Amino acid sequence: MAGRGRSRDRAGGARKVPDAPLRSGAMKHARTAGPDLAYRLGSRVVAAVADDMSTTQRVVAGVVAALVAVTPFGAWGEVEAQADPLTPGTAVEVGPFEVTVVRAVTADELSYLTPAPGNHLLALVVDVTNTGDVAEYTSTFGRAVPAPRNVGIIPQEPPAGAEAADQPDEPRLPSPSVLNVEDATSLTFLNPGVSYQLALIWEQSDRWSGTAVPVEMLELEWVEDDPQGLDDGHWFPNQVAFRGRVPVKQPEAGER
Amino acid sequence: MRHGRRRITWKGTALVLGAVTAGCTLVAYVPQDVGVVETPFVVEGAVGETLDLTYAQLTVTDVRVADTVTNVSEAAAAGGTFLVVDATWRAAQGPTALLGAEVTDPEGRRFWPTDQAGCANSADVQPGYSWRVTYCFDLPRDALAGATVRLARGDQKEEHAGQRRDAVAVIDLGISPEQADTLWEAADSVTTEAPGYPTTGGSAG
Repeated sequence: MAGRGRSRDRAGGARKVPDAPLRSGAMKHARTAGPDLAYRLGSRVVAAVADDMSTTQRVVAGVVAALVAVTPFGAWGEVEAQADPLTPGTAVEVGPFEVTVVRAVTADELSYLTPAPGNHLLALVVDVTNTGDVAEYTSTFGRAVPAPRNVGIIPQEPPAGAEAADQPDEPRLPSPSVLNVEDATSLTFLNPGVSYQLALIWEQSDRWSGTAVPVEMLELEWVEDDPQGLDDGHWFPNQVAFRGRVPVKQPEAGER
Repeated sequence: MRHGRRRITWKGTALVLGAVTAGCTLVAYVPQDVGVVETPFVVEGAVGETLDLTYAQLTVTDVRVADTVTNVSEAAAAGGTFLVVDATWRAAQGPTALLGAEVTDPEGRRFWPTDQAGCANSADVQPGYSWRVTYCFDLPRDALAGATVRLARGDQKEEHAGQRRDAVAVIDLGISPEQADTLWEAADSVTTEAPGYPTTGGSAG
Protein backbone atom coordinates (compact mmCIF):
# COMPACT_ATOMS: atom_id res chain seq x y z
CA MET A 1 0.00 0.00 0.00
CA ALA A 2 2.68 2.39 1.03
CA GLY A 3 4.58 1.68 -2.11
CA ARG A 4 1.56 2.47 -4.23
CA GLY A 5 1.02 5.65 -2.22
CA ARG A 6 4.51 6.86 -2.96
CA SER A 7 3.94 6.01 -6.56
CA ARG A 8 0.81 8.15 -6.60
CA ASP A 9 2.73 11.00 -4.98
CA ARG A 10 5.33 10.83 -7.68
CA ALA A 11 2.63 10.76 -10.31
CA GLY A 12 0.93 13.73 -8.61
CA GLY A 13 4.22 15.61 -8.56
CA ALA A 14 4.61 14.98 -12.25
CA ARG A 15 1.21 16.47 -12.89
CA LYS A 16 2.25 19.66 -11.11
CA VAL A 17 4.98 20.40 -13.62
CA PRO A 18 3.05 23.40 -15.00
CA ASP A 19 3.51 25.01 -11.58
CA ALA A 20 7.25 25.02 -12.04
CA PRO A 21 7.54 28.44 -13.72
CA LEU A 22 5.79 29.97 -10.72
CA ARG A 23 8.34 28.50 -8.34
CA SER A 24 11.09 29.58 -10.66
CA GLY A 25 9.72 33.12 -10.66
CA ALA A 26 9.61 33.13 -6.89
CA MET A 27 13.25 32.07 -6.70
CA LYS A 28 14.27 34.83 -9.08
CA HIS A 29 12.58 37.29 -6.78
CA ALA A 30 14.42 35.84 -3.82
CA ARG A 31 17.72 36.27 -5.61
CA THR A 32 17.08 39.92 -6.37
CA ALA A 33 15.97 40.60 -2.82
CA GLY A 34 19.60 40.71 -1.57
CA PRO A 35 20.80 43.72 -3.57
CA ASP A 36 17.47 45.43 -3.02
CA LEU A 37 17.79 45.01 0.70
CA ALA A 38 21.38 46.23 0.69
CA TYR A 39 20.44 49.24 -1.41
CA ARG A 40 17.51 50.09 0.85
CA LEU A 41 19.64 49.73 3.96
CA GLY A 42 22.44 51.80 2.43
CA SER A 43 20.02 54.50 1.36
CA ARG A 44 18.51 54.67 4.82
CA VAL A 45 21.92 54.94 6.48
CA VAL A 46 23.04 57.66 4.07
CA ALA A 47 19.73 59.48 4.49
CA ALA A 48 19.92 59.26 8.26
CA VAL A 49 23.48 60.59 8.30
CA ALA A 50 23.25 63.18 5.56
CA ASP A 51 19.76 64.60 6.05
CA ASP A 52 20.81 66.96 8.80
CA MET A 53 24.09 67.96 7.15
CA SER A 54 24.89 71.15 5.38
CA THR A 55 26.31 71.01 1.85
CA THR A 56 29.83 71.57 3.16
CA GLN A 57 29.45 68.77 5.66
CA ARG A 58 28.18 66.48 2.91
CA VAL A 59 31.20 67.27 0.72
CA VAL A 60 33.61 66.63 3.61
CA ALA A 61 31.82 63.40 4.49
CA GLY A 62 31.97 62.31 0.86
CA VAL A 63 35.73 62.96 0.67
CA VAL A 64 36.30 61.07 3.91
CA ALA A 65 34.22 58.15 2.62
CA ALA A 66 36.21 58.12 -0.63
CA LEU A 67 39.52 58.11 1.25
CA VAL A 68 38.34 55.21 3.42
CA ALA A 69 37.14 53.37 0.33
CA VAL A 70 40.52 53.54 -1.46
CA THR A 71 42.52 52.51 1.62
CA PRO A 72 42.22 48.72 1.06
CA PHE A 73 43.57 49.14 -2.46
CA GLY A 74 47.01 50.35 -1.37
CA ALA A 75 46.39 54.06 -1.83
CA TRP A 76 48.66 54.88 1.09
CA GLY A 77 51.37 52.33 0.31
CA GLU A 78 54.84 53.61 -0.20
CA VAL A 79 55.46 54.37 -3.84
CA GLU A 80 58.12 52.00 -5.14
CA ALA A 81 61.38 53.87 -5.07
CA GLN A 82 63.23 54.29 -8.32
CA ALA A 83 66.56 52.47 -8.32
CA ASP A 84 69.62 54.72 -8.33
CA PRO A 85 72.28 54.22 -11.01
CA LEU A 86 75.09 51.78 -10.29
CA THR A 87 78.36 52.76 -11.93
CA PRO A 88 81.69 50.94 -11.73
CA GLY A 89 84.11 52.93 -9.59
CA THR A 90 81.42 54.73 -7.58
CA ALA A 91 80.76 53.65 -3.99
CA VAL A 92 77.21 52.96 -2.86
CA GLU A 93 75.75 52.13 0.56
CA VAL A 94 73.94 48.80 0.83
CA GLY A 95 72.80 48.16 4.40
CA PRO A 96 75.95 48.03 6.55
CA PHE A 97 78.23 47.74 3.52
CA GLU A 98 79.99 50.31 1.38
CA VAL A 99 80.32 48.74 -2.05
CA THR A 100 82.20 49.74 -5.18
CA VAL A 101 81.83 47.71 -8.35
CA VAL A 102 85.28 47.22 -9.86
CA ARG A 103 84.74 45.06 -12.94
CA ALA A 104 83.09 41.96 -14.33
CA VAL A 105 85.15 39.16 -15.86
CA THR A 106 84.61 35.68 -17.20
CA ALA A 107 86.89 32.73 -16.46
CA ASP A 108 87.02 29.00 -17.04
CA GLU A 109 87.65 28.32 -13.34
CA LEU A 110 88.27 30.28 -10.16
CA SER A 111 89.88 28.66 -7.13
CA TYR A 112 87.89 25.52 -6.30
CA LEU A 113 84.94 26.58 -8.52
CA THR A 114 84.74 24.74 -11.83
CA PRO A 115 81.77 25.06 -14.20
CA ALA A 116 80.07 22.20 -16.03
CA PRO A 117 81.16 21.57 -19.64
CA GLY A 118 79.63 24.18 -21.94
CA ASN A 119 79.63 26.82 -19.22
CA HIS A 120 82.08 29.31 -17.75
CA LEU A 121 82.17 31.49 -14.63
CA LEU A 122 81.04 35.09 -14.47
CA ALA A 123 82.67 37.07 -11.65
CA LEU A 124 81.55 40.49 -10.47
CA VAL A 125 84.47 42.01 -8.59
CA VAL A 126 83.58 44.51 -5.86
CA ASP A 127 85.34 46.37 -3.07
CA VAL A 128 83.38 45.96 0.18
CA THR A 129 83.76 47.52 3.61
CA ASN A 130 81.53 46.75 6.58
CA THR A 131 80.80 50.21 7.97
CA GLY A 132 78.81 48.91 10.94
CA ASP A 133 79.90 48.11 14.50
CA VAL A 134 79.65 44.35 14.36
CA ALA A 135 80.83 41.60 12.03
CA GLU A 136 78.37 40.59 9.32
CA TYR A 137 78.04 37.33 7.44
CA THR A 138 79.51 37.41 3.94
CA SER A 139 76.35 35.66 2.79
CA THR A 140 74.33 38.66 3.97
CA PHE A 141 76.18 40.76 1.41
CA GLY A 142 75.84 38.00 -1.21
CA ARG A 143 72.06 38.05 -0.84
CA ALA A 144 72.03 41.76 -1.69
CA VAL A 145 73.39 41.07 -5.18
CA PRO A 146 70.99 38.88 -7.17
CA ALA A 147 72.23 37.03 -10.23
CA PRO A 148 72.16 39.13 -13.42
CA ARG A 149 69.05 38.24 -15.43
CA ASN A 150 68.80 37.23 -19.08
CA VAL A 151 72.53 36.72 -19.51
CA GLY A 152 72.64 32.93 -19.42
CA ILE A 153 73.20 32.41 -15.69
CA ILE A 154 72.66 28.72 -14.99
CA PRO A 155 69.52 28.36 -12.82
CA GLN A 156 69.54 26.80 -9.41
CA GLU A 157 68.87 23.06 -9.29
CA PRO A 158 65.35 22.37 -8.00
CA PRO A 159 65.25 20.69 -4.60
CA ALA A 160 65.39 16.90 -4.68
CA GLY A 161 61.92 15.43 -4.95
CA ALA A 162 60.27 18.69 -6.04
CA GLU A 163 57.31 18.21 -8.39
CA ALA A 164 57.39 19.90 -11.79
CA ALA A 165 54.10 21.61 -10.94
CA ASP A 166 55.73 23.22 -7.90
CA GLN A 167 58.43 24.89 -9.98
CA PRO A 168 58.15 28.64 -10.61
CA ASP A 169 57.51 29.73 -14.20
CA GLU A 170 60.84 31.53 -14.33
CA PRO A 171 63.78 29.39 -13.15
CA ARG A 172 65.26 30.57 -9.87
CA LEU A 173 68.78 31.93 -10.23
CA PRO A 174 71.34 31.03 -7.55
CA SER A 175 72.98 33.25 -4.95
CA PRO A 176 76.61 33.96 -5.79
CA SER A 177 79.59 32.06 -4.51
CA VAL A 178 81.80 34.63 -2.81
CA LEU A 179 85.59 34.48 -2.81
CA ASN A 180 88.21 36.84 -1.44
CA VAL A 181 90.17 38.00 -4.51
CA GLU A 182 93.37 38.37 -2.48
CA ASP A 183 93.73 34.68 -1.63
CA ALA A 184 90.79 32.93 -3.39
CA THR A 185 89.40 31.70 -0.06
CA SER A 186 85.88 31.88 1.31
CA LEU A 187 85.20 34.37 4.08
CA THR A 188 82.53 33.66 6.65
CA PHE A 189 82.44 37.14 8.19
CA LEU A 190 83.20 40.68 7.10
CA ASN A 191 84.60 42.50 10.13
CA PRO A 192 83.92 46.21 10.70
CA GLY A 193 86.33 48.67 9.13
CA VAL A 194 88.18 46.04 7.08
CA SER A 195 88.07 46.39 3.29
CA TYR A 196 88.00 43.34 1.05
CA GLN A 197 87.94 42.82 -2.69
CA LEU A 198 85.41 40.08 -3.28
CA ALA A 199 84.38 38.16 -6.37
CA LEU A 200 80.68 37.29 -6.65
CA ILE A 201 80.62 34.28 -8.94
CA TRP A 202 77.88 32.61 -10.98
CA GLU A 203 78.00 29.86 -13.60
CA GLN A 204 77.14 31.19 -17.05
CA SER A 205 76.37 29.45 -20.33
CA ASP A 206 79.00 29.64 -23.08
CA ARG A 207 76.14 30.53 -25.44
CA TRP A 208 75.96 34.01 -23.92
CA SER A 209 78.06 36.42 -25.94
CA GLY A 210 77.26 39.89 -24.60
CA THR A 211 79.65 42.64 -23.61
CA ALA A 212 77.95 43.84 -20.40
CA VAL A 213 75.75 42.41 -17.67
CA PRO A 214 72.90 44.11 -15.79
CA VAL A 215 73.74 44.31 -12.10
CA GLU A 216 71.28 45.09 -9.32
CA MET A 217 71.89 45.67 -5.63
CA LEU A 218 69.06 45.28 -3.18
CA GLU A 219 68.37 47.50 -0.25
CA LEU A 220 69.22 45.67 2.99
CA GLU A 221 66.61 46.49 5.60
CA TRP A 222 67.28 45.82 9.29
CA VAL A 223 64.54 43.68 10.89
CA GLU A 224 64.65 44.18 14.66
CA ASP A 225 61.63 42.02 15.48
CA ASP A 226 60.53 39.37 13.04
CA PRO A 227 56.90 38.49 13.85
CA GLN A 228 56.78 35.89 11.07
CA GLY A 229 59.79 33.91 12.26
CA LEU A 230 62.20 33.41 15.09
CA ASP A 231 65.05 35.27 13.43
CA ASP A 232 65.00 38.64 15.17
CA GLY A 233 67.70 41.13 14.30
CA HIS A 234 68.78 40.40 10.75
CA TRP A 235 69.28 42.15 7.43
CA PHE A 236 66.46 41.54 4.94
CA PRO A 237 67.14 42.03 1.21
CA ASN A 238 64.30 44.26 0.05
CA GLN A 239 63.66 46.11 -3.20
CA VAL A 240 66.25 47.07 -5.81
CA ALA A 241 68.22 50.11 -4.64
CA PHE A 242 70.86 50.34 -7.39
CA ARG A 243 70.85 49.18 -10.98
CA GLY A 244 73.40 49.47 -13.77
CA ARG A 245 75.26 47.70 -16.55
CA VAL A 246 78.81 46.54 -15.99
CA PRO A 247 81.10 45.83 -18.96
CA VAL A 248 82.44 42.28 -18.99
CA LYS A 249 86.12 41.80 -19.61
CA GLN A 250 86.70 38.70 -21.67
CA PRO A 251 89.90 36.78 -20.91
CA GLU A 252 92.74 37.12 -23.37
CA ALA A 253 93.58 34.15 -25.54
CA GLY A 254 95.39 31.59 -23.41
CA GLU A 255 94.28 33.33 -20.20
CA ARG A 256 91.18 31.17 -19.73
CA MET B 1 17.01 34.94 40.63
CA ARG B 2 16.54 38.22 38.88
CA HIS B 3 16.22 38.17 35.11
CA GLY B 4 16.36 40.94 32.54
CA ARG B 5 18.89 43.51 31.45
CA ARG B 6 21.14 45.05 34.05
CA ARG B 7 21.47 48.78 33.95
CA ILE B 8 24.77 50.28 32.82
CA THR B 9 25.55 52.94 35.38
CA TRP B 10 28.08 55.76 35.27
CA LYS B 11 29.66 54.35 38.41
CA GLY B 12 30.16 50.92 36.88
CA THR B 13 31.53 52.39 33.65
CA ALA B 14 33.98 54.54 35.58
CA LEU B 15 35.16 51.53 37.58
CA VAL B 16 35.82 49.45 34.45
CA LEU B 17 37.60 52.27 32.63
CA GLY B 18 39.66 53.05 35.71
CA ALA B 19 40.72 49.41 36.09
CA VAL B 20 41.72 49.15 32.41
CA THR B 21 43.69 52.40 32.59
CA ALA B 22 45.48 51.30 35.75
CA GLY B 23 46.39 47.95 34.16
CA CYS B 24 47.74 49.57 31.00
CA THR B 25 49.77 52.03 33.06
CA LEU B 26 51.31 49.24 35.13
CA VAL B 27 52.26 47.23 32.05
CA ALA B 28 53.67 50.27 30.25
CA TYR B 29 55.69 51.88 33.01
CA VAL B 30 56.67 49.25 35.57
CA PRO B 31 60.01 47.65 34.61
CA GLN B 32 59.50 44.02 33.66
CA ASP B 33 63.03 42.78 34.35
CA VAL B 34 63.52 43.95 37.94
CA GLY B 35 65.50 41.33 39.78
CA VAL B 36 66.13 39.22 36.68
CA VAL B 37 69.80 38.82 35.84
CA GLU B 38 70.28 38.81 32.07
CA THR B 39 73.83 40.09 31.85
CA PRO B 40 76.79 37.74 31.80
CA PHE B 41 79.16 37.40 34.74
CA VAL B 42 82.32 38.98 33.38
CA VAL B 43 85.67 37.69 34.61
CA GLU B 44 88.41 40.13 33.61
CA GLY B 45 92.06 39.28 33.23
CA ALA B 46 95.27 39.74 31.29
CA VAL B 47 97.44 37.72 28.93
CA GLY B 48 99.12 34.87 30.81
CA GLU B 49 96.61 34.90 33.67
CA THR B 50 94.42 31.83 34.29
CA LEU B 51 90.75 32.71 34.75
CA ASP B 52 88.13 30.51 36.40
CA LEU B 53 84.80 30.61 34.52
CA THR B 54 83.25 27.82 36.70
CA TYR B 55 82.64 25.62 33.66
CA ALA B 56 86.26 25.91 32.48
CA GLN B 57 89.61 27.52 33.18
CA LEU B 58 91.05 29.76 30.48
CA THR B 59 94.51 31.11 29.84
CA VAL B 60 95.40 33.36 26.91
CA THR B 61 98.98 32.34 26.37
CA ASP B 62 100.14 34.50 23.47
CA VAL B 63 99.06 37.31 21.16
CA ARG B 64 100.61 37.83 17.73
CA VAL B 65 99.78 39.62 14.50
CA ALA B 66 100.15 38.33 10.95
CA ASP B 67 99.42 39.49 7.42
CA THR B 68 98.86 35.87 6.46
CA VAL B 69 97.88 32.75 8.34
CA THR B 70 98.65 29.39 6.82
CA ASN B 71 98.25 25.72 7.48
CA VAL B 72 98.85 22.65 5.36
CA SER B 73 95.84 23.24 3.13
CA GLU B 74 95.27 26.98 2.92
CA ALA B 75 96.84 30.42 3.13
CA ALA B 76 94.56 33.27 4.11
CA ALA B 77 95.47 36.92 3.63
CA ALA B 78 94.10 39.53 6.00
CA GLY B 79 92.07 42.47 4.77
CA GLY B 80 93.59 44.38 7.70
CA THR B 81 95.88 42.35 9.91
CA PHE B 82 95.25 39.08 11.73
CA LEU B 83 95.34 39.32 15.50
CA VAL B 84 96.29 35.76 16.45
CA VAL B 85 95.24 34.79 19.98
CA ASP B 86 96.52 31.51 21.44
CA ALA B 87 94.48 30.19 24.35
CA THR B 88 94.33 27.11 26.54
CA TRP B 89 91.02 25.80 27.86
CA ARG B 90 90.50 23.22 30.61
CA ALA B 91 86.92 22.07 31.12
CA ALA B 92 85.88 21.77 34.78
CA GLN B 93 83.00 19.32 34.84
CA GLY B 94 82.19 17.65 31.54
CA PRO B 95 82.50 17.88 27.77
CA THR B 96 82.05 21.53 26.95
CA ALA B 97 81.48 23.38 23.67
CA LEU B 98 83.13 26.79 23.84
CA LEU B 99 81.42 28.83 21.14
CA GLY B 100 82.13 32.46 22.00
CA ALA B 101 85.13 34.31 20.58
CA GLU B 102 85.12 38.02 19.85
CA VAL B 103 87.50 40.96 19.89
CA THR B 104 86.19 44.38 20.91
CA ASP B 105 88.00 47.64 20.27
CA PRO B 106 87.73 50.78 22.43
CA GLU B 107 85.06 52.16 20.06
CA GLY B 108 82.88 49.16 20.83
CA ARG B 109 83.23 47.55 17.41
CA ARG B 110 82.95 43.76 17.54
CA PHE B 111 85.17 41.48 15.44
CA TRP B 112 84.56 37.78 14.93
CA PRO B 113 87.18 35.11 14.22
CA THR B 114 87.91 33.54 10.88
CA ASP B 115 87.84 29.79 10.38
CA GLN B 116 90.38 29.95 7.56
CA ALA B 117 93.78 28.25 7.51
CA GLY B 118 93.32 26.18 10.64
CA CYS B 119 92.15 29.07 12.82
CA ALA B 120 89.43 28.12 15.28
CA ASN B 121 86.20 29.95 15.91
CA SER B 122 85.11 27.54 18.65
CA ALA B 123 86.47 24.64 20.70
CA ASP B 124 85.15 21.35 22.06
CA VAL B 125 86.99 20.34 25.21
CA GLN B 126 86.85 17.37 27.54
CA PRO B 127 87.47 17.58 31.30
CA GLY B 128 90.73 16.53 32.81
CA TYR B 129 93.25 17.99 30.43
CA SER B 130 94.12 21.27 28.73
CA TRP B 131 93.26 22.02 25.12
CA ARG B 132 95.08 24.57 22.98
CA VAL B 133 93.19 26.72 20.47
CA THR B 134 94.29 29.48 18.09
CA TYR B 135 91.81 32.22 17.21
CA CYS B 136 92.51 34.66 14.31
CA PHE B 137 90.68 37.98 14.06
CA ASP B 138 90.99 40.19 10.99
CA LEU B 139 91.20 43.75 12.34
CA PRO B 140 91.65 47.23 10.86
CA ARG B 141 94.62 49.26 12.02
CA ASP B 142 92.64 51.48 14.37
CA ALA B 143 91.22 48.51 16.29
CA LEU B 144 94.51 47.13 17.61
CA ALA B 145 95.27 49.58 20.42
CA GLY B 146 93.22 48.81 23.52
CA ALA B 147 91.60 45.70 22.04
CA THR B 148 90.13 43.08 24.36
CA VAL B 149 89.21 39.49 23.59
CA ARG B 150 86.00 37.98 24.95
CA LEU B 151 85.95 34.19 25.20
CA ALA B 152 83.05 32.17 26.59
CA ARG B 153 80.90 29.05 26.46
CA GLY B 154 77.96 30.87 24.85
CA ASP B 155 78.29 32.41 21.40
CA GLN B 156 78.36 36.14 20.79
CA LYS B 157 75.75 36.35 18.05
CA GLU B 158 72.46 38.20 18.54
CA GLU B 159 73.93 40.66 21.03
CA HIS B 160 75.57 37.95 23.16
CA ALA B 161 72.25 36.18 23.69
CA GLY B 162 74.04 32.87 24.25
CA GLN B 163 76.05 34.34 27.12
CA ARG B 164 73.17 35.50 29.33
CA ARG B 165 73.56 34.54 32.97
CA ASP B 166 76.82 32.76 32.22
CA ALA B 167 80.46 33.47 32.86
CA VAL B 168 82.54 35.13 30.14
CA ALA B 169 86.20 36.06 30.12
CA VAL B 170 87.28 39.50 28.94
CA ILE B 171 91.02 39.76 28.54
CA ASP B 172 92.90 42.98 27.92
CA LEU B 173 95.43 42.21 25.21
CA GLY B 174 97.69 45.00 26.46
CA ILE B 175 98.33 46.66 23.10
CA SER B 176 99.32 50.31 23.45
CA PRO B 177 98.97 52.80 20.56
CA GLU B 178 102.73 52.67 20.00
CA GLN B 179 102.73 48.89 19.92
CA ALA B 180 99.75 48.96 17.57
CA ASP B 181 101.74 50.94 15.01
CA THR B 182 104.66 48.53 15.27
CA LEU B 183 102.40 45.50 14.99
CA TRP B 184 100.62 46.95 11.96
CA GLU B 185 103.87 47.52 10.11
CA ALA B 186 105.21 44.01 10.81
CA ALA B 187 104.77 41.72 7.81
CA ASP B 188 104.62 38.38 9.55
CA SER B 189 103.08 35.09 8.62
CA VAL B 190 101.80 32.67 11.23
CA THR B 191 101.50 28.95 10.62
CA THR B 192 98.61 27.76 12.71
CA GLU B 193 98.53 24.47 14.55
CA ALA B 194 95.41 22.38 14.74
CA PRO B 195 93.71 22.47 18.16
CA GLY B 196 95.24 19.92 20.51
CA TYR B 197 97.24 19.37 23.64
CA PRO B 198 99.42 22.30 24.68
CA THR B 199 102.91 22.41 23.23
CA THR B 200 105.68 24.92 23.63
CA GLY B 201 103.79 27.39 21.44
CA GLY B 202 102.74 28.10 17.86
CA SER B 203 105.32 28.63 15.17
CA ALA B 204 105.73 32.10 13.82
CA GLY B 205 107.48 32.61 10.65
